[in-house]
Formats: sequence, C-alpha cells, structure tokens
Amino acid sequence: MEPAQILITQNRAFPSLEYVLQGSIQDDSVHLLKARLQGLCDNITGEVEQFDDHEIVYTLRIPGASSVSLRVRYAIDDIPNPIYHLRYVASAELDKSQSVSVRQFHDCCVTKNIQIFLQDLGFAYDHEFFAKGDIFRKGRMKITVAKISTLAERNRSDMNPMAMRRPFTNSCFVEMSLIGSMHDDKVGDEMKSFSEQLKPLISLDKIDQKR
Amino acid sequence: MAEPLSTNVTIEPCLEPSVYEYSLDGEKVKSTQSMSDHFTKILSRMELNDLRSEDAVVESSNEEERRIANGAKNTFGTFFEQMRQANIEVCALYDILSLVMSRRYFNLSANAADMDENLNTANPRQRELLTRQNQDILRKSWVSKRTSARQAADVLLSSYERFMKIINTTSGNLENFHAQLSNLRQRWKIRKQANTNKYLGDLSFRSAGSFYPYKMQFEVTKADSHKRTHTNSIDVIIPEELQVRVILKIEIETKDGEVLLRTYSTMMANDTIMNTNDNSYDSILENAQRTVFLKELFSQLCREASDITNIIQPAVMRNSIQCWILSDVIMTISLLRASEFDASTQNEQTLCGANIGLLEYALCALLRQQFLRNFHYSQLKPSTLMLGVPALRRIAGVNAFNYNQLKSISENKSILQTIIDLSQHQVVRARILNVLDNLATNCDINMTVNVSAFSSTTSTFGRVHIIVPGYDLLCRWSYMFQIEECQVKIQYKSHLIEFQHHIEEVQRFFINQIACFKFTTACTLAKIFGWSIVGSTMAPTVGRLTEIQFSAQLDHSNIPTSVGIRIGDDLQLQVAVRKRREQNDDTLMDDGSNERIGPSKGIKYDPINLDDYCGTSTLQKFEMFISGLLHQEKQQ
Amino acid sequence: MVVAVVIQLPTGSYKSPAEAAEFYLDKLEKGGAKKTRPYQVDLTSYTSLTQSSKVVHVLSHSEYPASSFAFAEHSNNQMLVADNTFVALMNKLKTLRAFEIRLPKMEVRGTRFEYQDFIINLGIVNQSQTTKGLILEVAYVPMDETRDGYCLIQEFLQSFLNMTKPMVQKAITEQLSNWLRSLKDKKDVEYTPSISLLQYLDIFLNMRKQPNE
Repeated sequence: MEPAQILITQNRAFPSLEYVLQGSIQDDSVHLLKARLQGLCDNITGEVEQFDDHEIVYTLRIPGASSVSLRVRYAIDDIPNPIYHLRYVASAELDKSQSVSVRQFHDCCVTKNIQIFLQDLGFAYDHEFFAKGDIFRKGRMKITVAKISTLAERNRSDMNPMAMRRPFTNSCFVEMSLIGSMHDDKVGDEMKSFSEQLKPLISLDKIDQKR
Repeated sequence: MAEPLSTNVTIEPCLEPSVYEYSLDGEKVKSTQSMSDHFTKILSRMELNDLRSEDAVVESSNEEERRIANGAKNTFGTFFEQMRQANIEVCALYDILSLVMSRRYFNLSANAADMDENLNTANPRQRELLTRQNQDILRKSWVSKRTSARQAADVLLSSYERFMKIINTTSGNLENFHAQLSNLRQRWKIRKQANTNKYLGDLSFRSAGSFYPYKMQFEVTKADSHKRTHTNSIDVIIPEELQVRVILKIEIETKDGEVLLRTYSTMMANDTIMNTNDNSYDSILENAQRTVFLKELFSQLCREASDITNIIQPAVMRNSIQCWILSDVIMTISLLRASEFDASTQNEQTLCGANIGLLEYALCALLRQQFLRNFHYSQLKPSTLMLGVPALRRIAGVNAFNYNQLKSISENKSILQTIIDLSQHQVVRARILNVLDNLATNCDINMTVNVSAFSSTTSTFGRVHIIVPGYDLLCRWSYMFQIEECQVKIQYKSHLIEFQHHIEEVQRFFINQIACFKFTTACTLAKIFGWSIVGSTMAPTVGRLTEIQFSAQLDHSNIPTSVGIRIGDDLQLQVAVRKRREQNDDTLMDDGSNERIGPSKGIKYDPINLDDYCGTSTLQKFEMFISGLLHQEKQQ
Repeated sequence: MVVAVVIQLPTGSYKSPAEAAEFYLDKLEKGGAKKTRPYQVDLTSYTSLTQSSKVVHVLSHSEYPASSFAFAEHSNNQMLVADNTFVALMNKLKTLRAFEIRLPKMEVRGTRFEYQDFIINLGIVNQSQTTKGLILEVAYVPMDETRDGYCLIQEFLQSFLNMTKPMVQKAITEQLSNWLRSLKDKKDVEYTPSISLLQYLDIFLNMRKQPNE
C-alpha cells in the first residue's frame, strides 16, 4: 500500500478510548512532584516541555437526551497559527474491574473558525479556563501538571489576557492519560504501577466526573 | 560542605520529618529517629521552660522543630545542619551551666514570681530557710541539668562524627561501598531490586528513544575483599557481549584498491583505542555503553541495508556492510572487535581526510534522529493532542495537504541512505576538485577555484575563473559549478551542462574550455597587433568533447607571411609560419582543406619553437614572436 | 498552491453519463493526459435535530486524504477544515441524537489524470445508486494567482475538450464566480482547497434538486 493510503486507513481506525488517572497537589509541593517526574519520565529533548492552553467548552442541549459538550483547546503560545483541537470526551465509565477510568474519546484538529461553526450548529458557550504547566511523557503515557485558572471577566478585550486570569485553587491539577483503542487491562496496570511510584507525593486515582 | 552531597542518597524529600528509620542501600539505620528523639527527650528532662535564662535555647529549639516540620531540600543536608545547630546550642548551654556552677560570674536565682510568692507567705526566718533550701534544690537541679546537657552534647558529637566519617569516605579517604555506589548513582541510573539485594543499572538508550531490543543491564556488587583496593570497593558485572571493545571502521576504496578514506570510531572522546589497562568501574561502564551504541548503530544499518533498493543492493556480511556508492567506488562499514583491529595499518596517511571527532558527532546525530523518529517527538501544543504523531501530520488535515505533500511527510531517509548520499557527494566533490586542481597546476594560465561557503554536506557550489597572468584585461572567463549529491552542473555563458557520474567528462570539458580560452586569447592578442583571422576552426562545443583542436590562420596586411596557430589536447600552443603567395586567393579557392591547418596535408607550414622567444608565459612568448615578425617587416 | 475549476459536464447528447464519461476519458487519454489513480469525493449531510433542521455538509476528497471539509448551511462562514476524524465525531453526535442523516449521501468516483502542470479529475456523480451526472475538476498546480490560473484552465478546457468560452463561463459555479469577483476587487486573495470543495457542494446541491431520470 502506498504511504498516503496507509495514512488514511490509519485514521479511519482511530483509537477512541482515553484512560485517565487524576489527582491534585498543593502549589508549594508541586516542585517536588515535578522533580520526581523529571527523573522518572522519558527525557527526549533534555528539557521539560511546557504548555499554556486555553480551553472553551460548548454545550448542545438535546431535548429528551443528555446534553453534549465539545471542548475547543488551543495553545496560547503557539503563534502565529495555533492548532485548534476539538474534543468530545464522554463521561467516564466507572467499571469496577478497571483500575483506571476509561472514557470514550473523539478528537480532531480544526481551523480557527470552529467557534463560530459550533455556534451555528446550536452549541452554546458553557465555560472556559486556562491551563498552564508541564508535560511529561513516559512511553505511551502523558502526564500533565497544570495550574487551572479562570477568566476574571469575559468579553473584555481591552485587558491583557494574562492579567485577567484568576487561579481556581491553590493546587495543581495532575492528569495521567493514555489514548488507546480498546479495553485493555494492561494499560490500566501500566498506569497504576507508574502512579504507585508517585505515591507519597500524590495519589492519582480514577475520579467520578459527576461533580 | 553538606551541599554537594545532596544528590548522593535519595530519600523521599517530603517524608523527611516522619522518617523514623531509613535504609542506606539496604542497611537499616535508625539514627535519625533515635538521635533527634533522644535529644528532645533529654531536653524535656531538663525542663528548660521553667527558666527564663534559658529562653533563648527554648526558642531556638522551637525554631529547630519548625525547621524539621517544614522539610528541607535533602536529608543529609538538613539533618547535618540540624545536628550542627543543636550541638552548638547544647555546647553553649553546657558552657553557661559550667560558669554558673563555678559561682563566679553568675548567680542562680529561682523564678522571680515563685520567690515573691514564697516570701510573702512566710515569716523572715522561714524565709531565710526557704531561700537556702531553694538554693540547694536549685543547685541540685542544675547539676542534673548539666549532666543531661553533656549527654545531649555527647550524642550529638558522636553522630556528627559518624556523619563526618561518611562524608569523608565519599571524598576518597576511606573505602566504602555505599559511598561509591552513591557516587556511581550520580552518573548512572541504578535501582535496587526489591527482594534480591541486587543493584541493577541499565546501559541502553531506551530513555532517549531507542527501541533496540537487547538486554543491557549491569549489576553492581561489593568487591571481593582480596580485590578491594584503596580506591575501589565496588565491582560492576556487565554482560559478556559488552565486555569487548568494538570499533566501527569505515573504508572507501576504488575498484583498483585506491583508498579514498579509511577511518574508525570507538566513540571515545579521546580516541585512545587500546586503553585496556584502565579497570575502574566508571571506564568499564562507559566502554560498555559505547559498545552498546556501536552495536545498536550497526544493527540499525544492517536492517536498513536490506531495505535499500539501490541499483546494487548493499551486501551484509557477518560484521560488515558493503555498498557501491559510485560505479567504481565501494564503501565498507565494519564492526570489529578490538582484538581484530590491526592498529598498525592505521598509520597516519591512510586516515585521509577524516576527522574522527566529527565522524563520531555525525553518527551520534544520526542515531539520535532515529530515536526522535521512534517517538515521533513533536511539541504538544495544545497539551491535549495525541502523543506520537509527527508535527507535520498534525497540521496536515487542517491545512488540507494534498496527496503528494502527505506522501512526502511519511518519507524518511534511513541512516544508511544518508551515509551513502553523504559519502557519494564527498567522493564526487573530492574528485572534481582534484581534477580542477590538477588542471590548474598543469596549465600555464591562472585558474582560480572558489568553493562557496554556502556549500552543505550534499551540495557544493563554486566558481572557476581563468585568466592569463599579465593579460587579465584581455580575456577573463568564469564558470559556476554546482555539485548536487553526485550530479555536477556547470554553467558558463548562458549554457547549463549537466554531468552525471562522469568525472572524465568534466575533465574533458575543462580541458576543452582551457584550450579554447588559450586560443581565444592568442587570437585577440594578435588582433591587437593588427593581424586578422583569415580562417579558423573553432569547435568549442560540448558535442565534440572527444576531439579538441582549435586552429586559425592569421594574416597581416604588411607582412607576406601567414601565421598558423593550433592548440590540441596537450594544451600547448603550436605556431607555424609559411610564406604567403603573392597571387593569393587561390589558396582559399582551390582546396577547402586549406583552412584546416596542420602538418598532415595542404600547405606546408614551418613550425616555430616558441621557447626560442623570451617570456614568462606561452602567451608572452607568442606576443614576442608576432611583434618580432612585425619588427622584421618594418626593418625591411 | 492550486487553482481548480469544478464544472458539471453536459451529458445531453449521450445515452448515459457512463457513455459520456467514456467519451471524455478517451479524449483526455488521446490528448496525452496520464492516468494516475482513482479519484473520489463524498458528501454526507447531517440534519440537526435541535435547531430547526439546520444542515451540516461534510465533504471529503481523495486529493486531500487527511482532511474533512464541513459547511453549515445558511451561514456566511467559511468552510471548516478538519482532520478526517471529523466524520467519526459527527457520527458520534449522530448516535447521541443530536443529528441525523436525512438527505441521501452523494459520491463521485472516477479517475485522476495528470497532464504537465494540470491535474484533471473526471468522475460520475451517484446519489444512492442513481447516476446524477458527470463532474470534471481541472486544477492548475504551480499557481497561486487565481485569475491567471483560471485563464489557463479556461484555455485548457477549450483546447482539450473543445468547450467554447461561453460554455465554460456558463458552467462555472456561483462560488467560483464570486471568488473571481472578489479577486477583481482586492488584489491578494488566496485560493484555498476549501473553495474547490465549495464548488463541489454547489454542484451536488443542484443535482440533488434535479429529479431522478
């Protein structure tokens, strides 16, 4: 098969499950966690990868069914043409047999006009937040340590966007995730055993999304 | 001095306040708990809170507790610091108490409030008795407190000394397995296996992105007592395959056995190959890792060799890869054990043109590129993107890349292909420059070759200028040449000629050009002196590369002799003269072949030896000759 | 990168579109165009169940295998370009009962040709087993300036397929002529692949309206 052809078929059979473990850590001990992760994770480039994202959530209310949310996320520091990442994340299946939470997952990269497009389709603005922190990789796993902050005031373009941010809590959100294709116990075990190594600092767990 | 040691031992930093017992590489040490607890017990026995004079100490001990509670950067550092602080404080306390005991400078008085209370409630006699009793009691309590303080100081001192011992060992004074192990841990990732009391480390490049499936663990053990030396109390056990030293040798040869390049690499920073005497564990490990690197590189090359569908596929032998990089040049990459490597053949002159450091750097860069490709490393912006997708692939959908663009994303050049391309170019470039160099030295005109600084490893640009020294105003030709991989392009005037693989063609081309140039300068010079070109054969085309011959007949209106000039393969200007018949014209009329000046047929020319004329170059001699003719004519 | 003109070819004088396709294929090959690979364009329309039957058209094109193009009807927006996983996302929304597929799917299947700097895609349009017509896309690759590219393509159509100038001008879609007009007004407007897909969409929607033969 030709390479481009392979590419198409690869994308058709796109993996659509996300395995997640979540937790949080106080701001003043976050440096310890980061140091630990830096030691444990793959060190490809030799420096810690940072990110600064803005996520906007749109919700569509469907009469007679539960509403659907789509998340649009882009990196603020990815200039001049940021990649807009559109995600659908279902609520987690809290299966007792799984050691991690598993949720259905669809994603694709889209052009900048996604926000207007979604509104055209009837999606309504729900909420938005900023996430800033570090990414660590360990094999197929991705661990993000992020500070979540909200927008102090919406729809005010005159202010410096950085100044408008207000942190949610004085702790950081830690998420370990892996995108796989089907239910696979090995993945859960792999993630769980890695999270064990962070145990005294932070305990990552599957968390009920209904908050 | 506590600071640089901070990385030696890894104990969970934030757990430090609650460490009751820690194991220093398997040996349980209770010191932390027992000492600090013991110390606080002693302090509490002293009931320091009762005494105002000791407030300072109490405060500082509170501070100390706070410091413990806060948790600090590292166990050794803080613990050491705490010990030192406590020791100083207890020593100071002990000194104060000694001074008080000698009753010279200080007087002990009971708590003022208690005394007042007692004084108020009793009569004067009782009061006196009470004071004395009080003083007695105070004295007794002070004695006990003094001993307690001394005990505390002793405990601190002993632990301080113990720690000093450990610290001193790490600087090489004493043999200590743990100290050396912690030293080793600063450079290698070593993990203690849970149940077996083994220390295992990994030599592979897996954390950097290598997928090489090969077991490369080493084990650290205590050295046998008889083998233990002053500096070495540690032993490393590495797999047998990695104990050998290997050398990567690269040779480029022509079919006729001419060596174009012969170089080797051991991946040693200082290229000492045979330094086998050094048996320290560090150099053993480093060497093993180099072996791993070379083995991985070589196996990668072997794998790629089978994928290459060149005209002639590279052949993989037991420990060498052979591939034809040009039709007559073969490159051999072989992995040799140090014992197989014959150092005597590697004398200076065969290491032609290869900078070993550069080679190693290039190999490292190549393998690293491969590692990054394994991971498809690209920055995650935003962070929710999936891992393992190449950056270009990520934007391909949004930017609506077409079929061909997508295809080019997934195309990757393998390491071996890169090496072949590079060496191909290097060989072609070296040959072309060599040809130009030879030409420049062997012809008596001035030929300058400039290689552009913008040249890269697979493309070289440059210019060739040819002038005759002293006559540079007369004629000046220049060429641009461009070598892309193994394709040569030469631009002159408005032509662009491509040569592929044929160095000889390039050589012919330049010989032709030089001949033409010499011929043209000679003609131009003659014209300046009033000669006119009656007939000439100029075939300066590439089409007739095989035959190079330029010739012309020069006439002058005042001189009854014709001059014939000719230039051939040998690039020597030949000059001949003949008397011009007065009733001319018929020379041109009766035979077309007259135009073709040569000794073989037609009209007889008398050759002139230009060496009879003085001058530094052929052109100058020629100038002397034609001006000589004019001069003769004038005199006549 | 590319300037492309998409037109519906007249099939009136032939028995069936398939026969017409045969004729044009023959003409192209005799003219020296080289067959390269199959060509395919798909259109799926999703009707919203929440918002007064709003329609979202999702197109894919074999020339841009990694992308999906989405267009919300009755909006002045540009086309949304996304990864080809966008279809999976829409299907997910369908299972969540936010959308349904009410309108029939349409697809073009045919052959891709190359002739020097031109790429020619010729295919038959099908709407769930019924043949609707013949579609031709001519793209001029090394051009960014739509206007010049358009002129070259026009010339190509005239010389290669014997189409007259008025025929070509009549055949081009509203989308392209809009584009050409805006090009006249302000100088530097880039041509993007989504414009090609908009031209396809125009033709598809017109074909849908036509009654089945």
